[in-house]
Amino acid sequence: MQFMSGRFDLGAPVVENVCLGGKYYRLRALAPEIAAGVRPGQFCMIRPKNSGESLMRRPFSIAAVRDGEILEFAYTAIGRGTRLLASMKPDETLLCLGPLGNSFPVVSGSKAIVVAGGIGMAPFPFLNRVLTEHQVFPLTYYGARSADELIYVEEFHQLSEKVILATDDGTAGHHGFVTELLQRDLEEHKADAVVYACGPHPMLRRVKEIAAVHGVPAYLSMEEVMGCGVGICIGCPIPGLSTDGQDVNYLCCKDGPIFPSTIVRL
Amino acid sequence: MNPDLSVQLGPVRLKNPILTASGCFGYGLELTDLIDLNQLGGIVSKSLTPQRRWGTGPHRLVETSSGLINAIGLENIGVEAFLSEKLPKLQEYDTAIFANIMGNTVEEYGEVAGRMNGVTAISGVEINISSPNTKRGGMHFGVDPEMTYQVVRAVRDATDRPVIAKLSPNVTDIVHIAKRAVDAGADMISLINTLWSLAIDPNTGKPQLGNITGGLSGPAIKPVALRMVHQVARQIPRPVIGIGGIAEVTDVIEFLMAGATAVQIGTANFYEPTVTMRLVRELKEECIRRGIERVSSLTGSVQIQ
Repeated sequence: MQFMSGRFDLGAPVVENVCLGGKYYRLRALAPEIAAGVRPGQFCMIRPKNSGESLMRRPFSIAAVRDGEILEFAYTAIGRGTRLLASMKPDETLLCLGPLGNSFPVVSGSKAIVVAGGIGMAPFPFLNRVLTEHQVFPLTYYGARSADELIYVEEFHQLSEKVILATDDGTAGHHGFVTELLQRDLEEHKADAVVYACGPHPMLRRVKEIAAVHGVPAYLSMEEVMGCGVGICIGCPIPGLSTDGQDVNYLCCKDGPIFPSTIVRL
Repeated sequence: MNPDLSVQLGPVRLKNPILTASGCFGYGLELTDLIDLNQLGGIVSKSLTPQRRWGTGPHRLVETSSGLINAIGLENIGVEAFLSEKLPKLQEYDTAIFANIMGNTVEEYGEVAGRMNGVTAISGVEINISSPNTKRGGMHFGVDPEMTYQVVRAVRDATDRPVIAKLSPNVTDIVHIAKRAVDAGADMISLINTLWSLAIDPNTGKPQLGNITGGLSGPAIKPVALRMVHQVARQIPRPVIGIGGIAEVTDVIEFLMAGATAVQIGTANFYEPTVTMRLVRELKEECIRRGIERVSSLTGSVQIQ
């Protein structure tokens, strides 16, 4: 895995902040310094400059870099901080610290298998783009609760060999969990396969189990409440195993957010 | 005009009164690409215990109005790793380095403090007395005047470094506890640590923290901290370091006026990683604006009829 280089703490002007339907939003902000060095899987700690009593920044994966200078975030407005984010207008200032954390390893000549659940799709438009630039065309498995919660589907189609959808209510694609499709298909694709996953905890647990059964390396983008994003608050533990098999806590922000599935406890 | 920002903290001279607070700045080296440590008055390490500790499971943090509740569970790399891996790098910077220490018994406090004996790179040992005493049913040292005395005494006897007692606000009489810390040999008092708190998820009906309760910090606690600094500073013949929700230069000035000689910046580092550098710069600007030649003249200058 590659690790961070230059980090910047910027006031980034919002270029666009739109609702994609329901609780789903897409925010674009101008941050050329960060955009220049960011790699897929990395995140930024962000917050509206004016945020009243809500002081803490929150970590968001970078969903895409547009025109080489605009960072794009896909997010759901579900709590106080994210609702504030959703209320931001163009030209308002987004506090943006990044790029932070490690990134997904891009393996040339591999068979990339992307598994996204819900808003866990956020890092994958960026990863898929970088993969395709390396002539790796992923199979993208993408699940959500319902058809109207599937976002970026057109972009995924452009950046995948194939997109396989699943919904909990059967309104699009497979009626059921995306991991059921992974379990069905992985045997066929396991030669040179590398699995990349981000989504709810139970989904990641199943991905870890399925990857282990087939002996396929899997990289999981983990999530935990973060205070700082840079390792100074020690607030984002990811329980795991050290290389010599001891119980340890990794820090999601510093040691991750991307972890090989074999070293995290789920 | 070039105001003098330096302050005399007991036996320790600081270039300015802005320090980082323990637990809010890692081991000091995490942000050296974003912060010039040379500009800071000093840094205080995360609490160090005799051995490495892994802390509590998720979640460790929850945001509240103008604040943050944390329950990290004392995760730290241990005193030996700090001295061998972090301190040599910290020494390369022109800033005062303070080691915050913690134990679960009086003996453990003495053990960690003993490792600092003669370590001149460390400007002072700050005692986190807000830990559970495992020999007294987990009762926190810092809520009891005599347990406070014993811990500070054990540290005083174990090290030649200046000793700072960092007080818990979760007590009925903070002045009495501060006095006992001074009786035991504390060179300085820092306060306050976090306020004992609880957050519940109204949807699940469960506590939001893995540890159930945690410590509240951030601007929400500033008025409580300011009151306690004022109470302690006017009755204790030792320098006081003010801590609690400081995020703006006006906060710094208020704490100095209340009686603090220096201040520590905690939670604000999390949401504004370069806040300490900004406060040093703005403190100088504010002194110029007010015609203050020495920032130390602000200490205890609150006017009470």
